[in-house]
Order: sequence, then structure tokens, then C-alpha cells
Amino acid sequence: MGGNMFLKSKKLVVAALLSVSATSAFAAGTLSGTNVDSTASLSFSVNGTTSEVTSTNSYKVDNKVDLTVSTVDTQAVTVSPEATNVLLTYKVRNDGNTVQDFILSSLTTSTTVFAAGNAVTDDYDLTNVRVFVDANNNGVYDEGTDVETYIDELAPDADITVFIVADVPADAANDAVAIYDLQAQVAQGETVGTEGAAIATDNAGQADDAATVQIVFADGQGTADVQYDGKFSSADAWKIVTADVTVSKNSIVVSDPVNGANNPKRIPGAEVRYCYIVQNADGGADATGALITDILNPDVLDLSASTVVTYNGTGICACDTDTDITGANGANGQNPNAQGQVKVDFDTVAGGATECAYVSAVIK
Amino acid sequence: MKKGVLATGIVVALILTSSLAAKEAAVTLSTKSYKEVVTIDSSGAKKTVLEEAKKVVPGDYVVYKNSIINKSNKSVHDMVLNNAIPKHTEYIADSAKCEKDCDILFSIDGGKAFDKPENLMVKVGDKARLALPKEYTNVRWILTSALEANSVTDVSFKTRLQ
Repeated sequence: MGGNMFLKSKKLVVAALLSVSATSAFAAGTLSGTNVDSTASLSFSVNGTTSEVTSTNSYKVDNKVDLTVSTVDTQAVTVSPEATNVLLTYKVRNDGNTVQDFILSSLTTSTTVFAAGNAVTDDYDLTNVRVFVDANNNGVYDEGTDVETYIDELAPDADITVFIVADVPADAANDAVAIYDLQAQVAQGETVGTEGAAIATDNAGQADDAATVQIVFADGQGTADVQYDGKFSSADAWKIVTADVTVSKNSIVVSDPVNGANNPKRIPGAEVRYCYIVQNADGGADATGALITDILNPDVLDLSASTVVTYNGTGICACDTDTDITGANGANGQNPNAQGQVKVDFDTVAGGATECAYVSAVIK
Repeated sequence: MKKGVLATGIVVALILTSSLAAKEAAVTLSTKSYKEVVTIDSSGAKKTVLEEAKKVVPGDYVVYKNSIINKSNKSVHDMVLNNAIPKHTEYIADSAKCEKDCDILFSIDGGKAFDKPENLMVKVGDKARLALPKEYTNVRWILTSALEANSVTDVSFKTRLQ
């Protein structure tokens, strides 16, 4: 270091490299067990005779237990009934100064989660709830790979992804919310591959010992734990989203041979329009495989000129005489057959969407 | 005969040395470390007190107090006390104190050179800036007055455990 130093304008100037070595390598601080030694030396004279004495002081850095559990998801995770291995994603971080194990558990303590706009309230539970550590910390749940249920030997400043995994019951209702807290509790480290014993208390109630590494809980309060308890927790939620489909069938007289289009009546020779309207509630999941099958009685209806016309779009589906049904036959419509069967395959009806189909017949 | 004179001289020298050592031992240096602890009294007011530093974790402030103890019946002069900033800690600005008159200097090169804070510069590229207190590596107290017989004086400084 002396080679970097030179005097300039009576000021001591040292290369900036020195400042790097002055800082700790860990944001969490000096590792526990480290000895901090201070040595002082005093030179003095008595009656012109110069002497020197020294003095030292040492203490051992204690184990500052601190951890954070945070929720990765920014809003409730939407899932559908019967889905398996659905995920809530968290991060567990070791903010302490010691390599530790962490015991994991899922709790149902929180009743609400997420800020206004995304806030949800718990009213449901999923099944087969489990907790797994992301073995390769890639942020993706790999079934069969991510099988560890506790965090092993997490170094200071390091974090790792943890999943709560569950299954959704078949009868889960639309908009049901299941909130879960992931709680991590500090445990003894030092033995790779073995879940250490939980550290339930610190040494706050015990006499200080400068030569021993003592435990000091310095953790904050999570969603399901208190400050300075060696635990931390965070909440996340699933929200059930199902298709909420309604189907209506109506008819309207378009014209009759006597009145034409002016207040037509259902008399022989009248044109009757049948309307099939499918609605999926706003916010619901996509409804797939939406198929309507209907029978128009060929004994009373002349279906020889009947053509199915389909429309896709909210706002244009209504059962009235103004509806333009002169367009081409819908790609998924099947005109009435000899038995009067009409089929309309809507395939997927997205949440919030309205789709419709029309077919006209003449009363015999 | 010459051997006898030589032997006598060695004995006298040993007696003088041990006498001097006894006088030197009359001046001792004691170092203690204290952790700053914030307490709240019955009125709710916060108060910072010093407790002996035994349970220390990163972020704690530790005060080192060096006591110069003169147990002799003679005054002590020319006292210069050096203390390296302990590894894993950083010096807290303006915390170095002394009870008696003194000059306080610092080093940023491991104790090779000392100067006042306003003269400690760190070279960054082609420029130089004032050294930060956390970059200090050593502190030196030069006591400018004598320590009287049978008396004690303290110097201290504060650090933060990284």
C-alpha cells in the first residue's frame, strides 16, 4: 500500500483502492463467530526515559438472526376447478450473518392480501397443500425435482424461491379466494442435507458472553408472526375463476302474409326467427367446447330455406327484427337437417363475451 | 579478578533494568469496548447508554475506551497512543475524544502516515477526494499535557460493526 501513497500539497493522498477493503463483503454484516480485535499502543516518557505499553480488547460477533419472506406474485393467482399443482411463489432471504436452515410451513392466518385494486379476502381453502423449495432456484416448479420441504444451508445475503403447491377442488366456485401465508423459521445450519432443529428462542434472557456466539433475533414482523421471533411470513392468494355461462333461446315473428312486417303474428306462412345467445360472465374463465343443439319441429315449421347465421360480439346479439342476419352462414353453424336438428359450435366463449346464432323458419 | 569486576557490573545492570521495568509497569493501558444501547425511560424519552460489548451483531455501535493509568508518583510526558480501527468495523466521524488536551490524527494507509481529517485525501483516477471516516484505518492521540502522578485519563472512539 505504501507504493500508492504520496504527499501532495502537504496532504496525505492514498489510492482509492484502500476504501474497497474497508467494507464488509456481506450486506448482512460480519459473519458470526468472527473475532474483532482492537490493539492500542501507548508510548510515553518518564523522566526522559521512553517506554511503550500495549492493550488489546476482543469480542466475538454474535449470530444476528434475520430473514425475509416476500410474495413474488403481485395479485391473486387465478386457477380453475380441478386444476392440480397450482402454485403460489415466494422468496425467502437470509438477512442474518450465519448460514442457516429454514423450516417452512403454510398457514391460513391472513384474511386479506394485496393492496387496493388487487385486494382479495379469504373465503376458501384448497386441498393437498404442500411446500417445496425450488431446488435449482429457476423460479419454476419442477415436479419431481423440487421435492425439498425445508431450506438447507442458506448463506447470508442469499435467497431462494419457495412454492406453496395445492390442488383445486372440482366444486370450487367462481371468485372464491384461498389465502396462504408462507412462514419460514430459522433453524440450525452447518449439517448439509439435514433439516436442523428450529431455533425457538434467542439468548436475550441469558447472560452475555464475549467469547461465545450468542443468538440475537433481529427479524421483523410478517403477516403471520411477530417481531424478533426468528420467523417471517408473507401472504399470497389463489382466486378461483370458472366459466359462468348462460344460454338463452327466444323467437320473434319477423313477418306474416297478412300484416307483413307491421305487428306480424304467428300465423301459417309467418317467418319466425329463433335466437340462441350465449354469454360468459365478465371475469370468468374461457368456456371451451360451447355447443348448442336444438330441435325445430319440422312438422310445423318449413325449414327448407333455413340458414344458421352466427355472430360473435357483445352488443350485436339481440333477438329483434332489426338484427341483420343476412350474412353468410357462420363457420360453425349447421343448418337444420331433416329432423329439424340445428347445431351451433361456438367452440370457445371468452370471459365477458357474448356470441349468438340465428335461424329462421316458416310456420306451415 | 577481571571476571569478578565484570560479574559485578552485570548484576548492577540487571538491578537497574529491573528497577526501570518496575517504574514502567507503573504506567498501564487498559482497553474496554462498550456497545451503545438505546433505552427508553419512564417518561418515554430515549437515552443512549454504554454497556460492556459482549453481545454484538452487525450494525451495532461499539465505543472503545483506552484508559492510561499512571500509578507512579511521577508525571508521564510525551504520550502518543495509537489504535488501529479494528477489522470488520468502521470509524464513526468525530467520535475520537480525549479527556486532556490532545491532537487527534488519522491514517488511511494502515498507520504508515497520520494527518488531520481535512488533509486525508483518497486518489480516485486522476483526481483526489477527501477520505471518508469509514476509510480511516488508524487513530492517534497526541496528548499535549502531562499526566500527573497517580491519575488516569481516557481517550475513546466509536465504531460500527460491519
